[in-house]
Amino acid sequence: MKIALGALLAVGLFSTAASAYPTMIRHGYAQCSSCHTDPSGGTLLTEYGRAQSQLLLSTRWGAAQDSDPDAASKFLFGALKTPDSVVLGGWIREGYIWNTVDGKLVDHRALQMRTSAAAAVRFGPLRAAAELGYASAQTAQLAAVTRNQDGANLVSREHWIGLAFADDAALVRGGRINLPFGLRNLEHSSFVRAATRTDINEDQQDGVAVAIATDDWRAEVMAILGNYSLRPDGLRERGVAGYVEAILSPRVAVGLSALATRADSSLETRSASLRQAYGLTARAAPWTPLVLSLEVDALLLTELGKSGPKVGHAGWLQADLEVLRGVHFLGAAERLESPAGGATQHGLWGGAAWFVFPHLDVRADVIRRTSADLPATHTFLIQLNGYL
Amino acid sequence: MNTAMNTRNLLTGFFLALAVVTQGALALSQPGESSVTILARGPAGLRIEGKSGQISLDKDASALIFKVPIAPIETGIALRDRHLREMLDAEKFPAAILRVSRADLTFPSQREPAEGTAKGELTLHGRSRPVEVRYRAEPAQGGLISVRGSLRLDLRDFDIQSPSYLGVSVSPQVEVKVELAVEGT
Repeated sequence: MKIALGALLAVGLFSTAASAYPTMIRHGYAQCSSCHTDPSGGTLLTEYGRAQSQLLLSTRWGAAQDSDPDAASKFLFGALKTPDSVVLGGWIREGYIWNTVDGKLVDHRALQMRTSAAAAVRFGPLRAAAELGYASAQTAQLAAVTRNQDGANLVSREHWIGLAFADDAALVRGGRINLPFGLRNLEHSSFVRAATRTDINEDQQDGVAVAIATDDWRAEVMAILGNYSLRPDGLRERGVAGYVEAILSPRVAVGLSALATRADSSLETRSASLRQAYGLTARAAPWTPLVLSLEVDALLLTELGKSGPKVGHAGWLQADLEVLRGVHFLGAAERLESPAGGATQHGLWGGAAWFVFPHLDVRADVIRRTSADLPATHTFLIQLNGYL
Repeated sequence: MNTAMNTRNLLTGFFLALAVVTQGALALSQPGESSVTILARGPAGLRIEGKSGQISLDKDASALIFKVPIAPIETGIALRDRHLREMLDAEKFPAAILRVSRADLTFPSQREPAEGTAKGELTLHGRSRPVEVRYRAEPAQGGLISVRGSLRLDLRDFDIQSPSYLGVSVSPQVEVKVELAVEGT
């Protein structure tokens, strides 16, 4: 039974992924909205962001450090020129996963992780973005548009419309939006993302958000109206989430996050519940090749009318070392004490990522997770990510 | 449980301490050494910092003359450095020169720092324009005087086009901060 539970956890947690790089703070980019259409980062790249991807993220293959980005950085390698007001993008991410429990291989399979296309437009102060993709069976179900229970579905992780003002320093928008909470790290199965349900793979919610970015701080607050991919209505959470991050220097930022949502039938308890999370985040690049990221979250779960809050916490500390341009070694330690119960879990991540060129990166991870009441699991995951 | 709590607290404390130390180190940028920081801002919080450790001070009977070579200024991105040099036409105008009249300055005594605002003349991109300089000077070790100064300028006043790149435009208002240690005047 323990092995089955461990296997279920290991298999279920590593299915899809998206893209966000809070480690760009190593280049002085503590803010996100110059490079991403989402002011809090992740998903579609702007033209400026595509250029930075080639200049700063990817291996340069002998190109002069001060050379201009070329057509290779553009959408479809520049084969399709779009108006300045339109941004297009797309992802194909495939992977292969091996899971072991107590040293025994319990699962290995190919993963269809992300297949989607997205567009964003801007006309005057109007901003809008939408993504539509394909998800294989049992993946990204919280973002599903279609209702095929046992098979593949169309998914839309984000779709929103908004108005920018104050010289693009602020954006108010409504629609399906990434929840503003914590680090927007792409390890969506990390305890901090999974326990707070704030990953950018499928945890977006419908609502209204206001984002503000200055050179000293950035913030986003969202009124959560529910995830309308989820049915019935009782499962939908409503409440508020937000973060504020102070940029102490171009390479040091610290932030606070908060989330409070109520559902009539919570996914955890199946009863009316209040879910709260309060987090502290920090990002620092003490040396350009090295970025340290930290998130510590207090987790509270209250079954309304039954008991007081059950308390837990989640933590994540990651080091990202860029040993050569485009080649990263990644290590992380994490911990989870779930308010829903169970023994404390620990995780260790080790891996490497190579941004081969602007449209292609590969990544390999080993994740070890342990707890007192489950056998140790090891997950080996390799990913190939193509960006159109 | 206590061990785990201690580990967590230790990690959190370690990271916060590291962040504070890093921030302090970056902010102080090795006091006693000369530095010039140029801060430009773009839309949605974009912040671009250019730094150089090269600044010289010449003195004549009536003025202090600060000279900052353009070429060594680094913004952390090589392409942006090249754009900066091109924008300021660094081959033709290789340095920014600030001339401040001695009569406008208050000099520190051995015990008392001096601070204030002085009028100066900045020559950049081949154009000379009056600027206002805020400064603070205080005695430092070895008989040196530690000087911190700052000024704001508008690139358009110097016939420099506001930088714009791939849809991201930088504000023409730029801040310049200078820090150096000089021999007593």
